[in-house]
Amino acid sequence: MSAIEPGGAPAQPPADGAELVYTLGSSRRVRLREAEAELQGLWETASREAEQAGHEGVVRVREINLVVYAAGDAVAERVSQVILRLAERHPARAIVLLDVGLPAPGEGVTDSWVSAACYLTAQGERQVCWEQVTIPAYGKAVQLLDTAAMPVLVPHLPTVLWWPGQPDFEGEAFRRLGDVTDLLVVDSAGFSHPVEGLGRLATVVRDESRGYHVNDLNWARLTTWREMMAGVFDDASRLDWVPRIRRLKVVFGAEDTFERPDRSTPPAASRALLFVGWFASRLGWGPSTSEWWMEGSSMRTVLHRLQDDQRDGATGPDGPSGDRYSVEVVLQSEALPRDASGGLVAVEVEIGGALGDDGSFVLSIGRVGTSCICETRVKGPADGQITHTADASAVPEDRLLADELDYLGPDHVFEDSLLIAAALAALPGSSAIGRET
Amino acid sequence: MENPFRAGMRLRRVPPPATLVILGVTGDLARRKLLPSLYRLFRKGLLPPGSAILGVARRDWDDEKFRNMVREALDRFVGKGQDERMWEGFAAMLFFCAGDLVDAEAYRTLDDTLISVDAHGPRNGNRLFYLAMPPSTYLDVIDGIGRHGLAGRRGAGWTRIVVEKPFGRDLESARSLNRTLGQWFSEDDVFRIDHYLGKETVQNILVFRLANAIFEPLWNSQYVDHVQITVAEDIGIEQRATYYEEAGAMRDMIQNHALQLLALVAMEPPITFAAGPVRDEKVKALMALRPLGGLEVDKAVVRGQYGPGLSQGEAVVGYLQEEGVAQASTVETFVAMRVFIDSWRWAGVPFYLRTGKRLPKRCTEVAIQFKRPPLPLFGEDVAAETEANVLAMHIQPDEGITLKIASKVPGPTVHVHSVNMDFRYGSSFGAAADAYERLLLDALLGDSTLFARGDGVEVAWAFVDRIIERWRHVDAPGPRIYEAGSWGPKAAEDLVDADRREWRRL
Ligand SMILES: NC(=O)c1ccc[n+]([C@@H]2O[C@H](COP(=O)([O-])OP(=O)(O)OC[C@H]3O[C@@H](n4cnc5c(N)ncnc54)[C@H](OP(=O)(O)O)[C@@H]3O)[C@@H](O)[C@H]2O)c1
Repeated sequence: MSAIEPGGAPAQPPADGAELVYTLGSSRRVRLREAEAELQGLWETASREAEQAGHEGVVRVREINLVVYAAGDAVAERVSQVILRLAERHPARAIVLLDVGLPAPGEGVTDSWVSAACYLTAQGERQVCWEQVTIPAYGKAVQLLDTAAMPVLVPHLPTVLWWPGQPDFEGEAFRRLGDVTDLLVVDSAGFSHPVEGLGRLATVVRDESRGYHVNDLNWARLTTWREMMAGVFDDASRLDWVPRIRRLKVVFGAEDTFERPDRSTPPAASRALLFVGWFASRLGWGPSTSEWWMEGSSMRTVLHRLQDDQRDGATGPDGPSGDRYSVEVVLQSEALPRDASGGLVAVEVEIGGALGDDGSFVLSIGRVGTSCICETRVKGPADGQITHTADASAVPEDRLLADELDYLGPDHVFEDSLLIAAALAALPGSSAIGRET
Repeated sequence: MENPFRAGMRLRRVPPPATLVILGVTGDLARRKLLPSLYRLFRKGLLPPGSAILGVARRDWDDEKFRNMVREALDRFVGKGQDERMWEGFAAMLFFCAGDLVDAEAYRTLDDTLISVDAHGPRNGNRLFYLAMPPSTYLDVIDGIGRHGLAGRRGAGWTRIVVEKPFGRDLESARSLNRTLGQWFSEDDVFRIDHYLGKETVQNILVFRLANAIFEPLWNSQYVDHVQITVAEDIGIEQRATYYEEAGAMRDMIQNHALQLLALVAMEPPITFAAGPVRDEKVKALMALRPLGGLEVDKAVVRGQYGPGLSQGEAVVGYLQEEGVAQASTVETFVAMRVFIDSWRWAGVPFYLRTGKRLPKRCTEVAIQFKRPPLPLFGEDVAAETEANVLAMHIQPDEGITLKIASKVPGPTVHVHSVNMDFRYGSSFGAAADAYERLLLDALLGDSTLFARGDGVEVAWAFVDRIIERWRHVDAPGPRIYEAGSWGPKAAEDLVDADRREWRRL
């Protein structure tokens, strides 16, 4: 399979002890109204076979309904691979809505492909199992996909809508599927317009009438980076650096791991914005009415430290722009060798000297060469104070998704971060982000 | 002020930087469990920058030698091919201090080393001592730490101590350990490890009982027929004859693991899920154990000792033939017992406990066997065909939960079969972290919910001490010999048979 792998890392085989996969019959084409009965049949057969083999019978475990919108066959196939691996942690009934994109050969949505499978234990017993119903929709029927999904949703289970690629946020299909969803998972790295798309996503998050929570796999890829940054400030004595921060620079990989020829903005650009959004929201900084400007090979703008001055009175020395209430934000893309781990490359925080001391210094978290290992370092007077290493390898899509599904509730930190990232993405000049080189 | 960047991080609890002092760092436990777990925590970003690990042992090593040893241990127990940068980051945290801890001089050296290690990074004076030394040294070492001023707090930092099992060998020695610990540490800073409590399913016992509304109402003598707790090992005593000859199954398994499991099953709901209330309730459950002493012991407790046999298909020697075992040793390698908890909830419900070495398989579980329905509505035949409902919580080797329920076999006649509904960790929510990982993390976070408390340990010792006392009596029946690879002596069968019950086939 030549799947496109968002985030650059291929999905991994299931963990030890559950390596064998037993498919209950091959994927069969049945009429949608018969899908439930067909699945039932597969389970009964499996159960019978197990009993004949002297095992306990097959257990059917379902924790969620996972509805996936797949635009085209290639996406559907990639998604199926992810679902298979996901089952180990989150057994689901997966319903893949396949937008075939052609004019309808017949009326509406009538067919489905049904399959189910289990992992085998070392003893050959079948354990966690999952089931997948793939429903192809043609032409106008795509707008009514929710009605195709509803009959096959398992009642009383949370429904997660996973939408790889950028949804048509204003579209009928997205709106209607939202009505049956408890959690929407997108991957803004896969958006056709990664930077601008953040604004669209923010509109969804801002809409209080929506009945579901929102999450973003692109955000999940920042976890290691966020943790490394947080680790620096676990030492309370460093908290007095915070009001003295003058500049935040995020360097990201310019390569496009999604291999979409029609795209000119690297997906890591939106990840960089989300990181800035997170950093700013944690410190109570807000977007200003500034704009993005290009300086050398990087894009720059300014954030306001809103709460710092309200909280502590005037603190810290003047920022680089001569204004002590502002912090400069720098985004820079960097061309990486093809085999490099994509995503963020480095985060640098420039911190001014304490009052009466102009020894400024830089706190940096960055990849060692082009590896997946990150190091925390301090350059300047506090040199050598911190050294820390962490693994920032690209996490396979199935694991990212599984991590997100551990929590079906809201992620307020993400929402706060997204709103600031979106505000930054809306500033004049943002369209040049990621294209400057 | 709180770290603003930590706010809202999902469920990751990262401890503050601390210096972890492993006393007995060259030993088997440190190599096999502690260092690999610490490395895994480090890899997951759960050992924050500024943490340090200071190893102590007698051999005259330097930091370099120690790092080599750790590297070998990781290659062996975590896997070869660790990322070099990762390893270098971890290695930079490792320091060694040579010293014989029976000797006062060693504590002064340790103090100096700690000061110089702490000077390398901002550790807020936080220290965690981990006692991984031979149990015979515990008292002296705890006292040594205290007397040389190492147990005190420095600034805002904390000083904690983790004590490995066994915690004493009887009530008297446990009391004296508690007294010495209490002299230098407050109870909140003492972490008595029972690694069973770090396992997911063990933690899940309480969640299962109390986060589901449908089980707790049945969790009492009205609906529960009996409870079986099995802690079975297929291995023999390995090379640990010196230890085992002093201990035996009662001390090695029942006093700690089995009684801890029993407490979790039997306890009342705590008022909150915090260390204090949870452990209060556990101790109360243990205090309600009906004491067994004198002749009652002969009726309610069976001890056994393995003879030669086949273990997993291979011929193995009996206990008496193991190297280092006394010729006429009467040390028990198997215990089966019936105990009662004299509480409102459990009055009259027997708890059957069994543990042993050289049993057919390694397997730990807690099974709640419910009563049968009051009326054989589907006829006597059907009633005979069906088993009672059983809720089994598997702890080893696979963690998970099984519920056995009766169900009609499709067809024109009423045939009822029991079916198992199974839930396995590792296959449903991803592999669970190693118990030591969890417990080390908790100790660094100061959360003692999953550790045994001083009073609880004493109550458990008081209970088993009386049984062991009876065994010393000349009239007491000696250990029954059972064939290695079997489920123990026949007397164990008779024990439950007499109550018209049977052990679960595992
Ligand atoms: N191994 C396990 O799986 C396991 C499981 C549960 C509990 N435990 C408990 O954990 C503890 C350690 O067990 P272990 O199997 O690791 O024991 P071990 O292999 O015998 O190791 C003992 C350690 O203590 C050091 N040591 C002994 N006497 C010393 C002294 N006077 N001063 C300084 N260091 C001294 C030894 O190093 P030097 O020889 O270099 O001094 C060695 O590092 C025991 O209490 C045991 O009951 C072990």
